[in-house]
Amino acid sequence: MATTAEASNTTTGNTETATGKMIKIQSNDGQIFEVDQGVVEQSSTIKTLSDLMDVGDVPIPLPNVKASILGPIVDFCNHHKNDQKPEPIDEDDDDDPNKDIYEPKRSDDICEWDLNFIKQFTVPEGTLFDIIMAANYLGIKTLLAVGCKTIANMVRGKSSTEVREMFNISYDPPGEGINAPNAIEGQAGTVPTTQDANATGPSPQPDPMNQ
Amino acid sequence: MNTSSFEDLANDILSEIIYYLSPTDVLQSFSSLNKRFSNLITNEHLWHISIGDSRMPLMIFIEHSHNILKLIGNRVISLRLNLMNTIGGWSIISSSLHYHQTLLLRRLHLIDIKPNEFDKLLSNHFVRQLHTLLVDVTPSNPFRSLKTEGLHLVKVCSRMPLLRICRLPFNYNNQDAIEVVTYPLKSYMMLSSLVNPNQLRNLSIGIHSSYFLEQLLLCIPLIEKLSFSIEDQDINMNGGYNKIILPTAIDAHHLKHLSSLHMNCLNNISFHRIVSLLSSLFNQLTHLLLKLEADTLVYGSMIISGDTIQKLIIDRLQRMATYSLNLLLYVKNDLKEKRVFNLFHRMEFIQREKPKVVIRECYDRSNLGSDTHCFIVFTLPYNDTTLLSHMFSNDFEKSCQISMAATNLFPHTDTLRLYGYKKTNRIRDLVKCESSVSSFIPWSLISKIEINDSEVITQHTLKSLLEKAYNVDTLDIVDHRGIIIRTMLYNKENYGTRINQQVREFFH
Repeated sequence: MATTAEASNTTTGNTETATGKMIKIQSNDGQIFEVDQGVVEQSSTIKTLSDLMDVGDVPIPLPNVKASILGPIVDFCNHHKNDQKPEPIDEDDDDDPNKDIYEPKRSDDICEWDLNFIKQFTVPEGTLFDIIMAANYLGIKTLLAVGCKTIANMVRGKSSTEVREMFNISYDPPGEGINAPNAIEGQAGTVPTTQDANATGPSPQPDPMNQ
Repeated sequence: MNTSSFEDLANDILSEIIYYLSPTDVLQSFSSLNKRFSNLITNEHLWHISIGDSRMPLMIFIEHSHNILKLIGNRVISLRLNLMNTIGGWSIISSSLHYHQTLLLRRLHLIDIKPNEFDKLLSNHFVRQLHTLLVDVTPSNPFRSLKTEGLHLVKVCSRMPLLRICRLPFNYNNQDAIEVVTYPLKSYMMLSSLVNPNQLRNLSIGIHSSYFLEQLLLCIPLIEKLSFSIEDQDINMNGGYNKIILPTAIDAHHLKHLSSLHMNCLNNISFHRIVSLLSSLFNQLTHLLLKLEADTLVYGSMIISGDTIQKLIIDRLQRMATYSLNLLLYVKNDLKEKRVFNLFHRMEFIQREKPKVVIRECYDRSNLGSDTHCFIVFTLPYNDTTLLSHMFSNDFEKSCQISMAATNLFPHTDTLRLYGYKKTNRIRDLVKCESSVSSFIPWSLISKIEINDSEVITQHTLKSLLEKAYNVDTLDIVDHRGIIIRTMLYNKENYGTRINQQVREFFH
């Protein structure tokens, strides 16, 4: 049976508040959260669904998100609902010589609140990936950015071997994928023969950056 | 219950993560993970590569260029090259690009390339596929002082038939041209080769003559967005305005797609010529930006007054069109009566709610004639990159009457230029916490401070300014009397140390 989590101060469904109509959303394990328009506006998925369906008091089902992830997401959106909206990037607008519209985005600018927020999700428990996938599914760009920046910061400067160990990534069998003889044209003969002593996988991994 | 893992992330999420990393980082960390990641990097992800900055210094590129371009060369769609102060860098890049295939490359952004290197790069076959070419150069670059107009634009268009967006901020500077008749016609005769169909939609050029622009406008039939600066050098400003013959308006059929115009006029004559030439086009624009720095007299046919701006420009725009103004006017023989300044206040466009227009008098008279009145007229949000200190004073809030964050009022700011005498220029007010005007300055956006005289600022105010403008890393100081520099060297109250800690580039 569905239970209702109070994600806002209002406890009754379909009520009007200072920020507009309240909407109910339901996680895949049946928990219901009430959110206001400030939260809805941040999620393109919830916004589209609430616009399309005249939901009334019926909760919008979100089959790809479990309650343990949806709850913190509602907290995140509540915290950010008064943030100024970033200006959309016009890719044809190359007028400013000081700007490179295609420069790698910064990943060192996660604010303190977001840093503390994302710390509750971990790699071993898989929750860091859960929150990123949920943010992507719900179309919450700011949260997706925080998650991706966190991963980028974890990865930066690490070798493939270290990344593989950090995220427990599976190898391709020898002779497949990157290990295929012709995976990278012209690679033969230039592949280093040294092997990472710590590598636990079945095959040595040529590192293109160290050829 | 299954635990999610990194491998569960969809490719579009992985691509999003890659956008936060430099190509070197990505190749180092991802390319050897497994087949899926290798395929994503080499066959699916579209790369925007920047070489020569902190993300990928040239030495790193040289070390890994073979592998980077071999692995992902065919997926690179945008390349930005910033090789300032790097000897031989352009040749290395040129030969790398010549050797490796970059079939998807569409956008090339070159920072401070020199003319001979630019010509070499143009000879590469890959440039034929480009849709976007952006070039930016420093003030000392030879491209800032060209003796022939249009030469490089013609070269670029002949080598890049698909080019749609082009920025060549190269300046024509021929001080020898004193009379109209001495203009070498051959300079812009070759523009005729541009008549061959070109795809240019967005073109930004540097300082040219109005004669050149007149010819150019006939050669870019698809242009939608045009940006230029004009400084005619053929007439001495003191030679009398009555001799000027204004060009006839261009037939609007030649430029029926033009919708956005950015024009920067660097003297009175250029302004009148350009306004006359383009008068038939103003009513088709959706956006106009006018930047003007000019002398004007109080009377005569070549006056630039509020009435001139209203009737010749604003009234010709459609009702829905937007416009930005940034006018710096020096009115001769008008210091006491301020007639032109006062008349500006009565204009209809000044009273409009949108765009909000601000008029400020300039208090720095050190470089002006004894009877010259100077003022600035600008719209908000301000479109320029340089803030002038005399734009602000304590009643700025009252004259501005707009509640908006400083970074939205002055979104493109990167430089703060300081003028005047330190005891009267009110620069101290800018850094006072209790001063309301301080809140109007987008401190976080400012990366450069320019000081135009030894007497502009005290060491205490400069120190406070640097604390406020915490992102400033460049100081450009004109200090003939050595006052500012001496105080830095004496390092009183750690003044020099403070500057040394924050400032990366120092021009004196």
